[in-house]
Amino acid sequence: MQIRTTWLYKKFSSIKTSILFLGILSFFYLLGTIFPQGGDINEYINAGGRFIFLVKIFGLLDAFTTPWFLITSLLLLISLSICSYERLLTLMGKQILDTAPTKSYIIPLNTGENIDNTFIKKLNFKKSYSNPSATVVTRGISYKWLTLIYHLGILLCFTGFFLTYMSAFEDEVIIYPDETKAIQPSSQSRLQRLLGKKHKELPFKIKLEEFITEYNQMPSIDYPKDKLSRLAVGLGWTSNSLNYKIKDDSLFPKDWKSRLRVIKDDALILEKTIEVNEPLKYGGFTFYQAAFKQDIKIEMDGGPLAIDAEVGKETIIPGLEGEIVFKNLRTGTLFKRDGTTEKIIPFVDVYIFKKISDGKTDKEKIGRLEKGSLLTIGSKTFGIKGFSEATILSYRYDPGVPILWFGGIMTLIAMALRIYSPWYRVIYRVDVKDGRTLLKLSINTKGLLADKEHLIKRIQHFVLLSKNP
Amino acid sequence: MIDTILARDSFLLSTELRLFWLVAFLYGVSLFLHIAYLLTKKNSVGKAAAGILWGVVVVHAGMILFRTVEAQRAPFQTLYESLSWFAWSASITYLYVGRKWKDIYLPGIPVTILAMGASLYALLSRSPAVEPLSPPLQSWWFEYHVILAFLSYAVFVVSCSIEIVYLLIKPCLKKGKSSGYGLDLNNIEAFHRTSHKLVLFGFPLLTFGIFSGAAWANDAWGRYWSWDPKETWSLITWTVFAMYLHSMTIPKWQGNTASVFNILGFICMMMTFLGVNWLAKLLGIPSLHVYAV
Repeated sequence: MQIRTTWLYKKFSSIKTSILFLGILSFFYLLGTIFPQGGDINEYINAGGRFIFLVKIFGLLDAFTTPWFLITSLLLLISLSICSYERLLTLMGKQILDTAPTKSYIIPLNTGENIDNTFIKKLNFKKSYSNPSATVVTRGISYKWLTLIYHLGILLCFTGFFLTYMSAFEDEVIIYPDETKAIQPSSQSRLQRLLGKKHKELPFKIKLEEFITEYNQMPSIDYPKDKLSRLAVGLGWTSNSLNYKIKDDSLFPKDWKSRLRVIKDDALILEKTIEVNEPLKYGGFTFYQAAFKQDIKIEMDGGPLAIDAEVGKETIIPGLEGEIVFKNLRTGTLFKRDGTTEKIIPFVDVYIFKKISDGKTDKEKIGRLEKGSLLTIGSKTFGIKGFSEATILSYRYDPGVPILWFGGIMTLIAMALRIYSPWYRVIYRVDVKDGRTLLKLSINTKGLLADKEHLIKRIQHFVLLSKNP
Repeated sequence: MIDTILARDSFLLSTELRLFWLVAFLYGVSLFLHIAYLLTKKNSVGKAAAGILWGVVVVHAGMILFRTVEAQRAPFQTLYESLSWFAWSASITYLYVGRKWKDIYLPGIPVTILAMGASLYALLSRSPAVEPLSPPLQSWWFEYHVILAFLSYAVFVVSCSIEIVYLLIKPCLKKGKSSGYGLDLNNIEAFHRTSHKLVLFGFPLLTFGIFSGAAWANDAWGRYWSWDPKETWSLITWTVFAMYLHSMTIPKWQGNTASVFNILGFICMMMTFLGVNWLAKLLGIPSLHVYAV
């Protein structure tokens, strides 16, 4: 093991080096919160960015994939690996302790007392080393092993991150109710890009059985803007007390759910209703409820033809100045504040966008269009002829996740045990002096819950008890 | 029916606001007495400051319980609620940690400044309206993630307060002067070790906070890590405290170098909790943690 004596190896096994790498990584993290990540350099320039030169040279708009960041992470990983290896060597090697008690607690002891028995049977210690000058006993999980385990756990997490970085990819799919969709990923993982490979269609299809939207009725208050008024309202010094009110726009999203079926070779494999926080997992892929898409059919002046519009997008309607935007289509179930529920009569808010000078756009709310009623804009009358909602699922393949979770759990358990749980090492020797038998102790503790004083009391308790049985 | 419910909710909110103003005022009184202790060095004043703080912590606990009943969910969804929780958890942690100290009251100054500041910020800058949980927050991770993350914040606050007092008092003691604040050469190192123990206690909690946040994000947003500003700042905080804990294993660094890392860790923690919202707003960086703004 010649390499262990080299300057570089010694540097990498130093805690100071680990601290240095951690510091450099923190700096990169910091940069990532200052510069908008994933942004385009032109957007940055247009938004008035002032560090164009630095951003271009160091790739600061994608700080976490720059060579600088990846190299520093790799160096930390090497340092962590070497430190863990050194820890393992120490643990596996023969442990020679300085077994002479360094500090003594002298407890009078009767000559007939078997002190080994007291430590091992009564105080649950384990003998780890013994020589003529002293005996070493320990209690608790070895803190050195725990330290090694949680560092190895962090190494596993790094492995998980690396697998995610190289192999993960994600995409989106839009599915309408009763539609069965074949999934063809369009994005590639880094590894696929390197190998020049493309995805095949997934070997299963997804059918949307039903899409459900639910809303809460959210009362709101007119809370004053200025601080003095807030003080006055809070203390009740004003007649304007706080009153919850139900307003027109008081619908707050409660949930959106998709009832999905996984179909393979025309056979139903799995059915699950997914929602935010409750994804569908199948075939190494995870399907998440990301969002939904709404389309609306508008009838004009009672005519037979309908205008198709996507909710939230500008629509040009012949004969009307500006662009019309239908926003916030609400349909589904409303959970009211009084605990009752009701079906929402579908409605949509209608806005008109007009271009004014300097390329700016003026937005004006015209009104609310409810199914079954009409809304007049200019000389034209509009009504809702129909609408549809599609689910937007994001799906992801990420082989790094199981390794990350395993490493994370390992890290957490070992770290918690290392930091909180008590570990004791007692070095003791029995001396006879002036016709008296004395117990000399040296106690070492680790862990926040270790209580040295309590242990001394326990030792005294058993020694004194055995003295006067 | 609905009008009766709304009238009841309005009454509860008004009552809660009055309580919260009382709590903020009492934190102010405790801060005033702590400053008076700093100036007079009278233990009776220090005791009164700590006594008032015990009182306000009890009232504040009642108020948080009241909010929980009022909102019918855990009270840390909005920043208004989180600030209240932060003020309370930092104060009670300080009182718990300091219960065995004899005539040491100085760390109460930074703690009461933060508690009063957080309460006033919540009252004056945030809306107190009770809001239902948005879909991403409807997860069993919500309580565990937030409670443990905030518990780590609370111990870091107290640890930093001790560190600041240590850095200010130690030079006086080294010159042979008596501090007069219950600290002398015999007990200052033991007092300082509390700061290290607190970071040790908080570090696994912060680690759990980050891992649970990642697990939650994986279920809710489809990826466990998005380099969102809040996530990144929590990682910076974790890294800086890891640097602190490692530096405490190097004998030469256990003094001022480690202290600097501890205070830096606290600053990063405050950035994670509050500063990141301001930074994201200032720099126009979108954050997935918008519900916390």
